[in-house]
Amino acid sequence: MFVTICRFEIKQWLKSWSFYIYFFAVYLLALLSMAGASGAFGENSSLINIANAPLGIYGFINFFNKLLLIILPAIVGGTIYKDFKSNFHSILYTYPFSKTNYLFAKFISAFCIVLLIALAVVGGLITGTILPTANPAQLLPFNAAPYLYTFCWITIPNLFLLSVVVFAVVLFSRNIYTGFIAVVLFWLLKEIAVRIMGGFTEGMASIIVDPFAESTVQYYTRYRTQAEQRTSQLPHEPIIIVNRLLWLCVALIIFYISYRSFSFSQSAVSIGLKRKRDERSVKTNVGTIIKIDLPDTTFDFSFWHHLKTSMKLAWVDFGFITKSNAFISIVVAGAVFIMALLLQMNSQTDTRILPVTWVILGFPVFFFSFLIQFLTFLYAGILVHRDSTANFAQLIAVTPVPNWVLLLSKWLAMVKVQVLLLLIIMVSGIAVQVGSGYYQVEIGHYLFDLFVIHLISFMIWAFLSILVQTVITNTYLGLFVLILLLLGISQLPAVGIKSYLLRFNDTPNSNFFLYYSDISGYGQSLKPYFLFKTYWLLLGIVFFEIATLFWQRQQTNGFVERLVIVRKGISGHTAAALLVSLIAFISFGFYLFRLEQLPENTILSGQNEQALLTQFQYKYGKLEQIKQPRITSAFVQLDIFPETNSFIARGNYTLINKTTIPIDTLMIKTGYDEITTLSFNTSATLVSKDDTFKFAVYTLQKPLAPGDSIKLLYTVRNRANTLLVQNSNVLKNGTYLKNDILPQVGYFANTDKKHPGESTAFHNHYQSINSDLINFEAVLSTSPKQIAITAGTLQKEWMENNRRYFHYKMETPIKFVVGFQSGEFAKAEETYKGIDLKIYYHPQHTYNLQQMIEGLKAGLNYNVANFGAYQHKQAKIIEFPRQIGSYATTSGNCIQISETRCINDPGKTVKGGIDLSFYVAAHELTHQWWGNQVIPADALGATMITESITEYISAKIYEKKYGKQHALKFLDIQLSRYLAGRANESGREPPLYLVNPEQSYIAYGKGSIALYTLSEYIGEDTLNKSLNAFLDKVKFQHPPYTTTLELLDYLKQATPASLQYLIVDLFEGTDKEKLLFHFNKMRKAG
Amino acid sequence: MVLNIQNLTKIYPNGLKALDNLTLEVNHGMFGLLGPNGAGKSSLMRTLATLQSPDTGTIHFEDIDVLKNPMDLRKQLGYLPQEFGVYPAMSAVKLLDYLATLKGIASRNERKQLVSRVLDVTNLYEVRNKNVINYSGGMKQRFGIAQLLLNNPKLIIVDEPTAGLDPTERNRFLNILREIASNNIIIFSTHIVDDVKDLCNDMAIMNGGKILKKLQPSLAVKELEYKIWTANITREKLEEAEQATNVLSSKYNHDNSINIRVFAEAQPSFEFVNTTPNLEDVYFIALKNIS
Repeated sequence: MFVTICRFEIKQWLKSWSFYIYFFAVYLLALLSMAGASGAFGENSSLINIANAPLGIYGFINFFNKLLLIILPAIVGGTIYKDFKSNFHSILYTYPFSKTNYLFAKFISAFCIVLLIALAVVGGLITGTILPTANPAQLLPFNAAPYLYTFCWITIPNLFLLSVVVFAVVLFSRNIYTGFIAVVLFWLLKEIAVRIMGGFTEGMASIIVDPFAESTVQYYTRYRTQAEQRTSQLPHEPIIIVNRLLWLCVALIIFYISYRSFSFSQSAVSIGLKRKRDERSVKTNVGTIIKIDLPDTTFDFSFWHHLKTSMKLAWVDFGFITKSNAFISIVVAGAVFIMALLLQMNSQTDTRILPVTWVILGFPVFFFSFLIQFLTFLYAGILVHRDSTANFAQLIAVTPVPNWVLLLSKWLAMVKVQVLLLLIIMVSGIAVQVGSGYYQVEIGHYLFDLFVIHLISFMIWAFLSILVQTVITNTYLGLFVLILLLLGISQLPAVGIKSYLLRFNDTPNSNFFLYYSDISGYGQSLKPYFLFKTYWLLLGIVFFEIATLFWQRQQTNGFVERLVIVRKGISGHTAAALLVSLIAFISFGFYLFRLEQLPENTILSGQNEQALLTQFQYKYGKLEQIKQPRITSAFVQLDIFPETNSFIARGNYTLINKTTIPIDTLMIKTGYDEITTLSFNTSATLVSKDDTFKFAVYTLQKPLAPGDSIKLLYTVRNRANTLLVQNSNVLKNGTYLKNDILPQVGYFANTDKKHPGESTAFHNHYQSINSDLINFEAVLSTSPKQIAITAGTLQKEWMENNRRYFHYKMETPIKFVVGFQSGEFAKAEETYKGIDLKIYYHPQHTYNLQQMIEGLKAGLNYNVANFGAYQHKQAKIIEFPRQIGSYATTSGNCIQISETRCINDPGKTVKGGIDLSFYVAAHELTHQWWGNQVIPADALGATMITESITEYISAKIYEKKYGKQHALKFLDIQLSRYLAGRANESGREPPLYLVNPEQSYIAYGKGSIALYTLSEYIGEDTLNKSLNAFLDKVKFQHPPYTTTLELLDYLKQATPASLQYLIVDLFEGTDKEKLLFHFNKMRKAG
Repeated sequence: MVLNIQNLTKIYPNGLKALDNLTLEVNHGMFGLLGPNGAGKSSLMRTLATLQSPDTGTIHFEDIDVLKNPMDLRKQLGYLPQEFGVYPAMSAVKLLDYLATLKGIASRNERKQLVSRVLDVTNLYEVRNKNVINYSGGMKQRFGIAQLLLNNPKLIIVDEPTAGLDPTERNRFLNILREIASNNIIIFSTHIVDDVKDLCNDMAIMNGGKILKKLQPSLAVKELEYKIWTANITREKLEEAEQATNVLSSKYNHDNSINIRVFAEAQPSFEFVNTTPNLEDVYFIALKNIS
């Protein structure tokens, strides 16, 4: 009997076209993914990545397993559900077979089908590697092991577990939809569990508990470098087997329980919160004749009544969804998920940022929106097919209500569900805020972000979902198609479809809400967002109208007959409405198309830029050899107009010929986004220019003799913002301009870093191609409410023409690296040992002021004691909005610091976390010695001098303040930064003394460990003395600039002969194991 | 008030001719559509209820071209399908209010009154707050009547409503229908002759997608007077009798002999006695195409 049922079921599936759709869709997707990764389409994202490396194969299969989870309820649930749906079960259950036969046969046949589709993934991936156009450099020879490993250890157990869960749920609820909800719920619970158990980095608990073994595999492969990934096998740790066995047992237990409690009785189990009040009815009156006299009623078939009907029906549908236990459990799990996301934030660095509103509206909402999207897809199908599922459709179809009323009610119900889910975010967000003692709840911000920005987007998806679910009469196939559309749309840019007009529901910088700033709000991003959302909303309306045509009111036989009815439906009002909305959509699209095409709205893509740069280098590369005069002083008058997002800068440079030969050629590069006019105090003629890179070459009529100077005068304005593109960096509040808006002198396009041993490496320092130390003076003006700040000491502040002016001047020469900031700042200040410490902060961000001041003081104490005097009279910290970045930097006597670093939870330090605010202030101040006094040459290794030393000193400052345990904890974080960084390294890892500027995992991570370890071996004092000797020799130097070779000499001198191997292991070598060995030995000793 | 059906044809993709050039005129009152299972009754009913499009033909109700303007018909249409379900977890009151809104009754008060009245006349008032999904078969059919009354329909289409009802329920159901029929057209399909016998002033017999015969029951029965003969024969004689005469129906007696009814202008043989004709005889004559 078992075999009969099993064979029958499998045959049924193999006869159904939905199976083939799933099978081939999955096969094709897997094939395309692998082909894309192996460069078969010519578009190689990264040459170094091997498409079919074991970890890559695991990644692909694991991704597709998630897609299979969406198909799984339709198959495993469907196999049980169809017996209920067709009412066949009442006959079936009387047949002479046991429930063992029935259940096992049902389950095993369905699971076989699921596995068959899972095999399509493997097949697709393998086919993807053998396409003739694939790039052989991105492929390893075929090896079955990783496919087998992933299929047997990951795919089969995961799908088995979920199949059992779905099977059990559908068996008892007799509703396939609860099967889907069970999958979502399972996934949410998994995410919550893994997060609560401590995320990916720590905690064996999450490694064992993760039912999909994702964290397990990730844990064992997280520090694998690209080279290791290429060759090494997937992990075979016993823990993985423990994890798999654990969940296999769970699955078997669930199966056993459902097997035991299942009986061939005919009613579904419902777990109700309240008992239904239905009573049995007993016939009392038999066969009476009643007079049928109905009261007079008035009928209203007006548009308004239709609209009201829609709303009323929407409430009924809304109630239907929200009153179900499945939905309630999703909502509860979703709320817990959001809280878990918020609570685990930054746990890996042992800091926690305060739950300010944008934090909550950032990534938690981002993740939660996938849930909302999925539920939109699912409920669209459930609502659209609700009438026919309940067999109620005929009664509704014969009522004189137009199709649009019914469909609109479905759409409204879905929007209501979306609103409810967004409310959940809001409520759980506020709960987290209040729960963690943060009371600055910004209700307005919540409402705007959730119910204006996000809701529009979901509403547009709801329109598409309604259309797809109406055309495709199978809810679960519709869901699958919608998911594929969602995935497909995100891949459009990869196949060359770049225009936002062709990417459904996409907008330029669509994730801008992640970058909301307390200081500058959403900035310029809102305009393009709403423009494009209007466009998609118009398309949504078109979709809706097409859906009303496809809405099935009549019984049809086959798709052709449906099309005939659709065609018949296009008449009169419907045709007019469709035409109007189509015209609106197309003309608005055309308007946006024209906007996109305007030159001021085209943005260079990364690839184009690289190509243009190569072209440029080819044309102008020879100019690199021509010596240029150096900027020795800069004056700028910068007027910032926050209201109009504009600025105008007028100023001049003094250029001196520091070479020994006359100079007759001047190369000037001006800002990309700025409009610049130039003049000289001597006659010069323009001989060549490049408009893309704003590069111009002048010939001086009278060559500049050695030692002579000329003045360069400039006027710079911003390009205006357009509807689509932000060209100006002036914000309404919190503007942060850098000196790259001003002209540069010299050939700029040489981006290769030289070896510190090369003689040509010493002419420029690491941050400028055209200046050494310069005199700097600036007059800034801004709107009366704002404060404008740049490097220098404030000479004078005054009001003129209702604008606020500030005159700054540097007393001593500085590197030509300055920032210009303007904002409505509050100010905190204190004088410490004769130095004015100031913090200009966003008035709301008072949380970390004390720690930052402490950091500055501690930095002054340690550095003055070890490395001599501070060169300025002031140290100013100025906050900038997070759209610009999340970093902190030093320029002149200023420290610019992102607002993301001004919202650390001060309570966390008390509980033994890292005091990030203190640390950042100390770090940036230390750069005044290491970066601004010692200025390394523009060669490899420069950031070892600036960042490694600074990071080491910061650790020492930290140790003085919080004790050794905390400092070591801090170094542990640096270690994981290093290990994770080298895993992502696409090239070869250089030794510390040859570090590239962008390899921060080496400069910061490895650098701080290396120097700290050395200090423990040879003594902090010895090391600092040696560093001080180096500093004394090179500080404020002019070219030739110093390099790491010189620094290493000092370190070698300070290190006893017996420990010289440390220099090799820590600074000159790349052996990770040796670094770890010394570090761990040092840790144990400490 | 007249419903006019002209040359209706519907062929399903599997080749089944559900409606075969069917023409029929129905006047007000209760109209019975009698035919065996699979005769095309439901196809015709669904087509009349705007739930299915015919391949060719026209339907006019008063001055409405039904196939062109189905919405106009729906305003005057009451339909009770052969089988229907309801939304779970909704009471009769709620469901009827829902449907009344769909049928265009804007005033909440009017809906309320109307709903309680239709519940009253269908004798569902006591169970109005119970979920319809848990109703018994008869109650559910009465609920079906209650919902079709909501828009005070001029044309009512009822598809095999008595199937599965117990005698009292069936009786009650037919009484209600009869009551409504006084100033409407009710088209009522069934395969049970008794359903139409007493209720319908007009009827048609349908098979193979065609109207075999349109008739008034009382007249049709009268026409057969003196032409229906009955006899008791043994089982072995049945085939012989069928050969020799137009056997309309046959059924077993308790003594295992068979009672047959035969259509004949004159007494077929000595065993036959003349008997009172009934509607069933009319039906079988039409089905067996005897004239």
